[in-house]
Amino acid sequence: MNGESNVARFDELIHAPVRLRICASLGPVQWVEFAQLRDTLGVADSVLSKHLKQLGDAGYVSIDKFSKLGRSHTRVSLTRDGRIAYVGHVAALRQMLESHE
Amino acid sequence: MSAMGQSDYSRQEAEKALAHIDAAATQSVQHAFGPRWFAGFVVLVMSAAMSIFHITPLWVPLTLLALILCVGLWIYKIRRTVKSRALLGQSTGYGMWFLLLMLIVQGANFWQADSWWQVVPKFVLLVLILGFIMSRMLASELHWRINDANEQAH
Repeated sequence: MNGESNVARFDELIHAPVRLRICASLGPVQWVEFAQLRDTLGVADSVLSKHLKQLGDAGYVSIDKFSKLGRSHTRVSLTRDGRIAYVGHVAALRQMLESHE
Repeated sequence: MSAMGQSDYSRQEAEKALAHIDAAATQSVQHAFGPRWFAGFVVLVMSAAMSIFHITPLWVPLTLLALILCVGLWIYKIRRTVKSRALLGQSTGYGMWFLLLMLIVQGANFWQADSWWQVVPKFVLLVLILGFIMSRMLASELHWRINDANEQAH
């Protein structure tokens, strides 16, 4: 795989279980619909909204709302900063495992 | 959000967090692949089209293959709720399985099933072989995409 190397950096904001699963779900995709993300995670709308707001305030996720064929859609995606923080967090978790071995 | 917090977490917690990440990322990638039944549908229709190729008029297998395109487009345009991330590289495993798939498809043309009793075993054999290759292709792609998402911030 090509690409930049990423620095291991533990992120308390991402580490909370629901937010960690949100970031892990957003990692492999460009965007996902809010309803799809909610169903995948198995959480209530309000819970997902709350955690997305926290991630959004930190500049980790972006939320785009638009209308298509008369239906409103909400798409969620990781921002560049969010992706860097998430990849760094995964690297930090792996480092923790290695250091305990 | 600092390295200070890192030492507070045990090995078990790190393992648990990585397991959560793996499960969520797997689910996300699988959903981005499209509905699970679609891969099975592609295998069945491809096998059927290749099996009856020498026994029916040409438009019949071509119509079957067009059906795959129509259903694929319908899923892509109407039912899409997630878009996969563009990858920088390609999965070697996926490429190898895809190459094998192409070879099988070409090789299957040498078996000319020109009676209905030959069509059935050809169909069954193709379903088994293509089904296995398709599952291996998807597994390689899944593994590659999860690794890319967890290691590359491009």
